[in-house]
Amino acid sequence: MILLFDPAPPCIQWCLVRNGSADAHAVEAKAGWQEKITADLDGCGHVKTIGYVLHNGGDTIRDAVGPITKESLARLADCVNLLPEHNSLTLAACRHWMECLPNARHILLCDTAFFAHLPSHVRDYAVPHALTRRGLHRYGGSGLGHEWAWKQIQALTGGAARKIVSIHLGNHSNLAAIQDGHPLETTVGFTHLEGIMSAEGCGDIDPTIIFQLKAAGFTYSIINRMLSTQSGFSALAGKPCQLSDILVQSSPSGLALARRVFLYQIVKYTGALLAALDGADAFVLHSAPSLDIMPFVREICQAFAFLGIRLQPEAGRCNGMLQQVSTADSAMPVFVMACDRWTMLNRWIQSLANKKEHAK
Amino acid sequence: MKKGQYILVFNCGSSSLSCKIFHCDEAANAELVFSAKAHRVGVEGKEASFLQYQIAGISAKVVVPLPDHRTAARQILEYIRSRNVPVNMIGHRFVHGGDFFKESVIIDRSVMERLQQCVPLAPIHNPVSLSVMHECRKTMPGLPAYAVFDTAFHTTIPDYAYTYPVPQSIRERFHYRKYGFHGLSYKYIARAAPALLNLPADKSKMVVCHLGTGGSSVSAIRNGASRDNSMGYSPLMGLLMSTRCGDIDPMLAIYLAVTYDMRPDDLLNMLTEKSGLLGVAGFSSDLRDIIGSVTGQEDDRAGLALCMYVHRLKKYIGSFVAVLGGIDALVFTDDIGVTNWLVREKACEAMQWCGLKLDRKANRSASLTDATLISAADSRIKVLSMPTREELIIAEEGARLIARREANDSAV
Repeated sequence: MILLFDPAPPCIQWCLVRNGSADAHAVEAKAGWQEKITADLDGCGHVKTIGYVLHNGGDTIRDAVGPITKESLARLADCVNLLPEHNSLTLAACRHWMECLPNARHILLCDTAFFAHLPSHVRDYAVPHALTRRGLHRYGGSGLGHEWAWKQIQALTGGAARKIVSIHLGNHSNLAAIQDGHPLETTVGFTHLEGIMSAEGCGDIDPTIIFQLKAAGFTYSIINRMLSTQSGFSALAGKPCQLSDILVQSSPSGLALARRVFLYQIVKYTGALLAALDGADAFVLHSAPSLDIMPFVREICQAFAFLGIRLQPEAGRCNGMLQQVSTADSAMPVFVMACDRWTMLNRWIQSLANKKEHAK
Repeated sequence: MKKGQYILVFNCGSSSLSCKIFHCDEAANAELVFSAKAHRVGVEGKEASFLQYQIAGISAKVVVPLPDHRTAARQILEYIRSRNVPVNMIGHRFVHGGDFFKESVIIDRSVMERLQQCVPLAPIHNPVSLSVMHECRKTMPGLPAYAVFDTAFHTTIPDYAYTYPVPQSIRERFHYRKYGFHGLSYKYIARAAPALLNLPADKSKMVVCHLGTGGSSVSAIRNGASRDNSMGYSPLMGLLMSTRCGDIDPMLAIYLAVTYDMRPDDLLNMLTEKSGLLGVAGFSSDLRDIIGSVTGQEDDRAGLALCMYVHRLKKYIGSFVAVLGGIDALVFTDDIGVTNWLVREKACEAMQWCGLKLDRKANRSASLTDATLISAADSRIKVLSMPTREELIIAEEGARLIARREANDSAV
């Protein structure tokens, strides 16, 4: 039995994987949440492995997946302040269950590790050098998902796709440009706030606004809340709103604007990443299986018809496997992949076990 | 004095002030009769500030302290008076007209009040323009004046490109959105580049890189109209500039303020005045100095600064190629765009995916004063290095405003 944790403030998501089936939950991250989960589990005796997602591993945690040791726990504590709300939950979960279940395997799954070796001209911000040295640079994000997609594409194409643009569509959508297994660009910055707008986050905006709001009497904590939890799709729709709401093609005006902005941002960044890669050998678009992204994928690819990309008119909803949706004469193959996050995290843990087997 | 109008235009750069007088005939053809430029205005450094004049084939250079733009404007206006150059009207470039001004306007008292209200939109640029306006009214009283806005050209940017997805309450209260800048330059290039390339201006797609010594931006232009610009609500966003940071995670600003307890003014000053090329390289904000100091060794911060500058430029070119669905032409303009072949060469490297191929030899020997075609013969995209003419656009706007006013007067 495998227990998985993925912080999503103000909640912590968790999942029990048993006989290959994933049972997902979420609990509000307030005092006593660990006990609540233990009660829900009806004891933890059967849990043999626990995986913890870390959303920002800073400059020190550079493995996508690895066992947690005393030493790595100390490093984890050091990078809490980079993304306090998320990382503190990961740390709290680790500390709690390492104490409760000292004999289980404790595994850290780091979402920024894939980007640990971004070239410095991509990683750095153009701010005074002293700040860059203090770790104020881009970390990338959704590395576990992008690396997973890269591996799937390699397996399917037999290594023919050396350069890919990987597009994750979700409530925190983002892109990665990958060449020979290494990321060359990301749309995620110091945090997930940069880049494409999310369900509640503003994405790229002029930081001048922050200082103006401060001068107008707003506190940083209110500004932070406005930009991270009251912006994005929800701000344009005027009500809480998820990606599934804006994937629908015919929608009321607020949603329609959110959809237009979202599509535009994805096309724009795809172009930027193509420039970083000097063109790609494949596009891959991935999302949760519950989303029907195909109509949206068609619109994205339509924007790249000028490069000779053609989709099969009959390609329908993705069935879970990696699926090619472009025609044989398309200038570049386009793949879609429905990827359940828990299943993907579970496979990462399996891959660690396999690696160990192999090493023996 | 010939028939027609003598229009004096002022164009404030961040550390320069350019002044030209055009004679506009009734067919709105503009002929340059006088030009002056103040260099190193308000810059502290080893080199002295100076003024350069050109009139009737004669040029003169005067080394003089220029602590601010208003002083520079006064010196130039006095010179114009001493040479008896006729002036009928004065045009001013105003960087950020916000939502208040969508097109050029003759300045009267109410316009002046609204211009004042635009100061917070561009706290560095707008007050400088206002100070020059005040100086003109004092030194040459009674002359009609008008303002031309950099933001005006970008009013055609569609909602999906300009909308900031922040809460509606603050979006509406503070008019938060992308505005876009360098509009005068883009307006000129949008017309002149297609003419040069024999492309129909109303049926062409271009990416234009306005690379200045201070600020820089990129624009996507379709059928002569702006579709996107790399700058944002203010000129801080987009490309990496001489001292401005360009694109940055908004959370970084909050993080710095909270973690290091920095004052908002100091933070904004840091991102505006101490970042960009200067922040990365550490010793200079001048791209030429930086290129000259690249060592290629480990910890080569000059090399890193150049690499970042080019990388971000390439990303924007790629972005705008994508949103336009492919382009017919790529244009480099303004000081760095025209004089720096290395930046053009690097920006066009490895861009064959979209049909772009540079003629490296033509690029290296491109003219510093005239438009040069620098793409390879088999490049699908035409590439131009081309000086911009912002002052000409200001003068033409003036001639247009006069014509409109006369038409209105005769209608009454």
